Amino acid sequence: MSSHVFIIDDDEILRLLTIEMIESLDDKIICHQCENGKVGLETLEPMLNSSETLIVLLDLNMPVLNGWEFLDQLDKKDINKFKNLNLYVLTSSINDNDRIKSEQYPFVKKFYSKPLSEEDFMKVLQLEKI
Amino acid sequence: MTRSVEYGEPITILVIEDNDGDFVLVEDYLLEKFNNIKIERCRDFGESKSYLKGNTSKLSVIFLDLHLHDIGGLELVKKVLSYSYNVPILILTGYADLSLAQLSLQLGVYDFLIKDELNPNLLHKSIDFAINRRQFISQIESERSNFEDLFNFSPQPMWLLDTDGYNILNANLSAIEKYGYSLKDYQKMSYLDLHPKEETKLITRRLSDYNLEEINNNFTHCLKNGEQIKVDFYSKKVKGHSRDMKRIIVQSNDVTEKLNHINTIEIQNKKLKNIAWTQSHEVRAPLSRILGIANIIETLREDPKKLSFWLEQLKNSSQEMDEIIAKTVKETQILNLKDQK
Repeated sequence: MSSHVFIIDDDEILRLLTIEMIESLDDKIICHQCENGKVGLETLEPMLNSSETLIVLLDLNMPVLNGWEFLDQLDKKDINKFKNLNLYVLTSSINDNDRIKSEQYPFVKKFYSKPLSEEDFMKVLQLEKI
Repeated sequence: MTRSVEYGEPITILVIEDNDGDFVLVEDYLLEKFNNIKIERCRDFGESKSYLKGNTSKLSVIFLDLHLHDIGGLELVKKVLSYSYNVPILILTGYADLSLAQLSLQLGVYDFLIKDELNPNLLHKSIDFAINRRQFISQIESERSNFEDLFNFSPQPMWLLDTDGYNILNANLSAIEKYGYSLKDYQKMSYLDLHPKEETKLITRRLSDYNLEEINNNFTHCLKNGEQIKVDFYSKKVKGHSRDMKRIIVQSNDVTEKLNHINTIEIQNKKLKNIAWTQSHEVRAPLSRILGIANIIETLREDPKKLSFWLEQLKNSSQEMDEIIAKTVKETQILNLKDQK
C-alpha cells in the first residue's frame, strides 16, 4: 500500500516545487501532476475505489476546470464513502472569502495558502517527524 | 356730513371739459370736498393727449365729458383710454347720452356721472371709490405678475400643459433657452414630443398618476438640435382660468452630468475591484512560488545543478511579480488621470 499525491495546479514551477519538497521528505510517495481540474478528475477517478491513500492538493484558479468546479464535480460522487481520500485546497489566494467558501465542502480537510511549509507537508503527507 | 377726505398725498384731478359752466360746477364741488387737491383742465382731445403724455403718473382720476370740439362719443373714450395708463376715468354726461355712457363702461371706464344729478357728495364718493378700486386692481395685478415671474424666470425649465394631449400651452425662459425651441415651436408640440418614442407610454402613465414620481424618474429629453439629455421631472395638476379647466405644470432637471459622474465612479470602482483581485491572486502567485523556492533552496545546498535551476526560477518569478506590480501602478495612474479630467 502506497501514498499517491495529486498536484492539481496550472503553475508548472509550483508543481515541480511541490514534487521536489515531497521527494525530499519521502521518496516512496508517488506524485501525479495535473495541470487543471479536468485532468485532475481524470487521473483521480480510476483510483478512488482502490485501497491506496490518496492525497489531493487542489489549486483554485485554473483554466478549463477550476478548483471550485472540481469540488462541485466531486461533490456529486457521494464522496464520503471514499475514506482513503484526503483533499486539501492549496491556493496562492489569501482572500478570506475563498477560505470560507472552500470550508463549506465537508470533504475539504483544510485550506492552505501557498507555499506549504515543511511542517505543513509533514501533516498533509501523514508523516511522522523523524 | 361734509367731511373732507385726507389722502396721504395731494390728489390731482384732470377735468376734460369744453363747457366752462360745467367745469366751474365740478371745480366748485371738488374744492368743497377736498382740502388738498389740484385740478387740471383740458378743453379738447388734442390738449388732453399732450397733457396725458407726461402727467399720468401724478393723476388720481380723469373726468371726461363725452362731447368735445375735436372728437366725441365712444371714439373719444377709446382714445383717452389709450393715453390714460390705467388712471380711472369717470364720464360726465347728460341724460341724452345715457346708453353711450353705459357702453363706455365695457371699454374700461370706471363710472359715469349725470351732470344734472351732480352734487359734492356724489362726486366725492365716486372719486373715493375709483381710487380704492384702482389700488385694489393694481395689487391683484402685481400678485399675478409675481406668480408669472415665478414661472417665467424659474431657473428650471417648466411647461404648462393641457390634460388632453399634454399639449404645451406655455414654456418658461429656461425651457426656451435650454431646449432651443421657441414659444411658438412649443405651442405646436405635445410634451410627449420632448421624449423619445419609447418613453411615450411611461410618460403618459406618469402624468396621470403622480404617485409614480418616486418609483422611476429616469427619462430622456430631446433638444431641438438633436442632442439628448437625461432628466428627472416633476409635475402637478393645477386649475386653469375657469373652474373645470385642468392644467399640468411640469418641471424638469438635467441630470446628465450627475449620471455621467455616477457612471465614471462605477467604472472606477470596477477597476479598483480588479486591482484588489489582482493583488490577492496574481501577485500572490509568483510570490508563493518565490517563498516555496526559498524553502526548497535550504534543503538543496549540496546539489549545485538543482540549486542553479531553482535560482533561475526564483529570478523568473521575481520578474513576473515586478511586471504585475508595474501593471497595477499603471492602472491606478489611468484612474488618477480620469479624476483630474
